[in-house]
Amino acid sequence: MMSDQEIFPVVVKDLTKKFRILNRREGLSGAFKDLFSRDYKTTTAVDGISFSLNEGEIVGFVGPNGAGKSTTIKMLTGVLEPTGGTVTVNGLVPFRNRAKNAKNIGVVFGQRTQLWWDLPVIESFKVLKEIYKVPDEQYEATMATFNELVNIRELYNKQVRTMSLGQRMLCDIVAAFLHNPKIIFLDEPTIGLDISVKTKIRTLILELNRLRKTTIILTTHDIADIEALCRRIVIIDKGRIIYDGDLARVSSIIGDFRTLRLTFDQVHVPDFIPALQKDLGEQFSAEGAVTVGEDEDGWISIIVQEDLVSMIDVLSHVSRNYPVKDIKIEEIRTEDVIRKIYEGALT
Amino acid sequence: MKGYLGMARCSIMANIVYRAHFFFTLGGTILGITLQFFLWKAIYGDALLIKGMSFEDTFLWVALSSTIFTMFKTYVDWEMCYSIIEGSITQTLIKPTDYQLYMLSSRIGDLLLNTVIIALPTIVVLIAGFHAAIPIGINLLFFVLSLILSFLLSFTLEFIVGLISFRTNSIWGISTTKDVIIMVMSGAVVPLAFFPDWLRGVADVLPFRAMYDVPMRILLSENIGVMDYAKGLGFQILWITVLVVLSRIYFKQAIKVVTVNGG
Amino acid sequence: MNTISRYLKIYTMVVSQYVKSRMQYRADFIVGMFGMLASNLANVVILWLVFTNIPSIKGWDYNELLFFYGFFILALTPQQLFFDMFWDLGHLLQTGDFIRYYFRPINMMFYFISWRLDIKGLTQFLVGIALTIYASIQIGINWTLPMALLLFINWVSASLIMIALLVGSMSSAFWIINSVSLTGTITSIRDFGRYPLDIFNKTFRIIFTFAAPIGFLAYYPTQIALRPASEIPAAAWFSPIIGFVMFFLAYQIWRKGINSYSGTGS
Repeated sequence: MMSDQEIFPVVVKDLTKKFRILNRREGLSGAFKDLFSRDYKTTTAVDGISFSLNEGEIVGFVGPNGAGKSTTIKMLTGVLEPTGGTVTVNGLVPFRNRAKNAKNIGVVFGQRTQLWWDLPVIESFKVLKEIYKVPDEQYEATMATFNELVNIRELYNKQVRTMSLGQRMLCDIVAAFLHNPKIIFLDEPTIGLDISVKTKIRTLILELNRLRKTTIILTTHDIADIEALCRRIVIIDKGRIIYDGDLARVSSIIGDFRTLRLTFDQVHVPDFIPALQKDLGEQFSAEGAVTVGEDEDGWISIIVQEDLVSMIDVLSHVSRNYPVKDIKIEEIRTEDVIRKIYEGALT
Repeated sequence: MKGYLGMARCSIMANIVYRAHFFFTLGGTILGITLQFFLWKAIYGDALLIKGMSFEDTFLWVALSSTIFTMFKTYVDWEMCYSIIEGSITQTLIKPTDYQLYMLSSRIGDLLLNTVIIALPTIVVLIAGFHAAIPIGINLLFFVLSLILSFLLSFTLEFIVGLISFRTNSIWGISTTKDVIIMVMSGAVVPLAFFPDWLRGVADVLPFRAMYDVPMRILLSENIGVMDYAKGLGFQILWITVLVVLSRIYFKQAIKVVTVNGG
Repeated sequence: MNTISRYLKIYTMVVSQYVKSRMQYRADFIVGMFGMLASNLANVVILWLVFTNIPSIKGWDYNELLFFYGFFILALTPQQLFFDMFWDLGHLLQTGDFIRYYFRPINMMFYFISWRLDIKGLTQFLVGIALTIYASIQIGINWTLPMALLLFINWVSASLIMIALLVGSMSSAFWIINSVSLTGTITSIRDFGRYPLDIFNKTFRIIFTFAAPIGFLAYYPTQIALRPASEIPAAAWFSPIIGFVMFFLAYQIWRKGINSYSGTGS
């Protein structure tokens, strides 16, 4: 009978992290007092979360800033010691076995490169090969795969310092996968990139996951990343998991929402939206029942919470009072759902 | 380093950070003086005078010089080098003010702060802890004047070093070289009286003694009259003029590097 | 043994690449070397100037002090060369970039310092060697193999004290903002070690032998070469181990720091 730790690459139970923050007192006399008696405040960044990852899964970690995502990742990678609960990665306790754990994980931070800035990137790869004791044949094969997928050879002699953000990100991802780790942590891997590079990177990640069954934890604010890569999503807010399951079913838990999408004749959009929101808010007084926004394609979207308000009522009010040109009624998009969760629709 | 302090200024913690920094610098200064005390005591041994100076004379001379040296350090050269490397210099150049004057005025505040927080306590320690005897009289007035001139000299040299760094994009080496040349040739570390004649001759014609030797002599020498004050201050003014003119000419040349490289 | 050779290989790979990339900055390289040379020579000039006026300082003559100074800067060299990254520790902690050092399966301090080599430290090394050799000839030291070996071990130990002082004081960056200023003050204390303990009064001699290892930076270690065995003070025989003890302590401070760092962001 195998234990959880043997079956699942990552097992987290009641994981908690509290920080003691010094309440700094004001002024010089305050600083003086601080030297002698310290006044601490405890904040809980992660509050008893539990989950397990399956081998080869790509899981999205989503949540507003300050939710506790980074803190959780730092506990999984051995940077932070948990205050309570347990965490096992590949059968090891990360904080107690930082170096050993590091052999089998790869980490990418979108904002910060881990490559040597002044060196041609091929040198970084060679050093990493040495650090992770990657055998020659495996190294050659891995680099060949990367070449096939994203033509990494083109960048070999470029100094990391001179690369564009997209090129650098690609190299950081290659570097993370280079030693064929069992688990990869990707933190905002597509941030600041344009759409063509984002697509390239998403394809790379999907392919590598397919080829090597690497378990991947992806933290991101980019919903499109989540939709492209993840089947499972974990939503964290205020240090707690508020949802852990299929991406597809997220919509179902927060009630019946549908989106009414409209175009209008001759309206000045920026002024129009707040006015429309105000009007609908007055008409249909249930809190949060009706949310107006503008979509990328220029259509106005009205998200209607159908257990509070009738879609038909909204539609007839709008078409009676405004010059509607065209309408569509659609299921709510995942992006909007998650935004609603951020806004506390679940609490 | 100065840039870092500048950032610190912005936060609420700035007060405490700044104060701690000065506390540490003051501590370092006093430690340095203690070391010099023991060193020169050992050098003198049983001797009462060396080249006409007593141990008390020499110790006071050296202690004051090094304190003033710490006070005068504005790191303007470092700031100029970083402003070239990071490109922020273009923002400063756009301003309608004269670059050199702008740099100078940005330092006056720090200088005053340094004087109050570092120099004054150090002098208190010197008098109370080490029983230094500073002659008090009209010499103090001329001493202050002379110090102001010394600062201008020190600043101009730092500025010139900063201009050199426009070319080299490297500051530690030239700044350190400047520092050691000044420390040695100005009589700050070893009073000029101790120099062998031939080296003394060299030191006498160089501008460096205008920075420490002149103000120290004004402060500490006995039996010197108005003529000597005039000669000392005159020597300082002469060298300030020469160096400022040099720095203005060099500035025009050095600034070309910015326009060539920049956008 | 396997680990050591592997670490050596990694270090050589990283550092040689780093040096190659720094060589592109010719001016910086030359200016740095020159500045180091000027700084070291200035100290020799100052010593020389003093000695044009007196024959000895508390029984130490010019050549002995040259030897002393040479040893001191040789002891400073490994810290200068290899541990230069520590000056940036505070900045890296504040920006959060420090977190990158956590993710490799190798020792974090090793990984951290491998990112930079301060090449001008080589100049200091050469000056130190030159001074030590010159002075030892002038003094007429009778070198024996055990003596040379012991001096070498003492040099290793003194170097470890230098490194420990930097690592220990800069590690304060994990908790305070003014780590650089603190290190400055500690360096001022360290500089007391530039001169033989004989110049200080009894109180300081005791402090620098038993409380702070300043005497073990150059004074006690060099006794082995400069004094006949009968005259060597008892404390000098402890020179070899002080460095290892200091480094161990500094390393514990570092470890406490890396275990308590929480990075930026949440």
